[in-house]
Amino acid sequence: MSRVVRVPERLDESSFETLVRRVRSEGNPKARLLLDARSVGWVSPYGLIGLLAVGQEARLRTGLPPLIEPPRDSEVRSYINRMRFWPAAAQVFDLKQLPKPSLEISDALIEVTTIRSHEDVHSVVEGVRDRAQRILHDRLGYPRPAVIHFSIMLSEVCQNILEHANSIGWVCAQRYRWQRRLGRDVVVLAVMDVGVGFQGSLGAEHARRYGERWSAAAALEAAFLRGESRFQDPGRGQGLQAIRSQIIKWNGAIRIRSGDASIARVPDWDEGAPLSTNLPRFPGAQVLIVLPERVESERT
Amino acid sequence: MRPAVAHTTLFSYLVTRPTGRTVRATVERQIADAGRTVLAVLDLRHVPVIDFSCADEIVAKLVLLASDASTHRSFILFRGIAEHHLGPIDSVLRRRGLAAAAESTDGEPLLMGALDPGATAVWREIWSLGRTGVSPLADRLELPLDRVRGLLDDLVARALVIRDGERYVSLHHALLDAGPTSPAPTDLRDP
Repeated sequence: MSRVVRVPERLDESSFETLVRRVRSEGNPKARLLLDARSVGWVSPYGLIGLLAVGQEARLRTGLPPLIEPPRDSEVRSYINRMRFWPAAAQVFDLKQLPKPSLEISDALIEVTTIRSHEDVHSVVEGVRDRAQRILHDRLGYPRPAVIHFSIMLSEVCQNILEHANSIGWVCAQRYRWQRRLGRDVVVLAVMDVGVGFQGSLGAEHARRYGERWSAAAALEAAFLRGESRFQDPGRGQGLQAIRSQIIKWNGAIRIRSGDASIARVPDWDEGAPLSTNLPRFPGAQVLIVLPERVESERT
Repeated sequence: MRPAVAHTTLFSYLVTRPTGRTVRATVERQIADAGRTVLAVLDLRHVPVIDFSCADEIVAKLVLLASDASTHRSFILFRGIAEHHLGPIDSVLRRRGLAAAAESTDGEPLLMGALDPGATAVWREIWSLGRTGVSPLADRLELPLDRVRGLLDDLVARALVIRDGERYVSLHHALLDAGPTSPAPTDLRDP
């Protein structure tokens, strides 16, 4: 007997919390999960790989490959097919039938990609250059060197999965228009895993020092704000610091969710709390990066 | 003292720690196999991207090795450094309180990482003179001899200049002095 969890109609970083809450609270947690995505009418890159993360978490917890009912909406179906969601989903879900690969050329910056090894990180970073040039420089007005800075950011955030999560993960990036929130185009980069998370990764090295104050929020603050890592080697922990500093330079946003907390760099154009706690607990780390189109005064 | 020169030309994307470890192991092997003092020259001219993890594994850890007096003596010179290499490399060196000698893609001297302004001035002067002694340096920089000696000791300990008796030699000059490449350059296209 499967337990059915309905996926929110609009699936992004905000409604991902609803989905996680539903998965944690509805039905028998040991039963096979069936994600009902039939009514999904819009999905962001974060939402797309969020489905994989939720599926993988259920698979690891129950030992049973979960099921998924695809969206009915033809545009959404076409979009997730173009984003190569299904090949990645086939490694997580029990799919009765894999949809035929899309023949349409994707306009994504990075289609859904599974990160299992450092070779996968190389492949993503080396493959992104031309698209990053076209999207970041030509469309969003970033200076040419931004393509290299973006590649470095991508490399560091994907390595985080392998170095700290002890698990597979996924990456996906897309340009689209944030008309209501910003009135500009943005690039949204999402990276997720369901591994040990920041609290688990940093725990052996730092938990004793924090005592009872040790928590997912404390671990996120240690890594994100102070560059602490699970290693004693002073060379470690720089990747996340470098990402944060680059995002500040670009006036972008980053939010890292891990365990029951999230930490963010909130730019002036966005709302939201720099630190959130008491979120529905979810393993691993889920990273959202938003790079806004450069306005005319920023392009010089 | 005339060190053996070991060239390594890097071509690929230098991303991820395992890639960095592979490159570093190759250079460390060259240094160990030489059986004498080595000037290792790493050319990054054809490297499109170097990330922080790889910069730490290659640049910072090779510089650490060179400045460790207990190991076989080595010096490291980075060449072909472009603007996009500088951010990650400078950052990883500063984090460890290290400095590295380099040459830009235009052949300009670059001191990457953390070094105090006095030592930086002495290092630049030695680069421009190639080979010099304490007195000429003190005269040119208008500094007391003892101060210059102290700064030179620091530069030698950090393997940023080579001491040859009473003379101090820039890594760039040592490279030119070595003549044609010996041994043959290592080409790391796919580390």
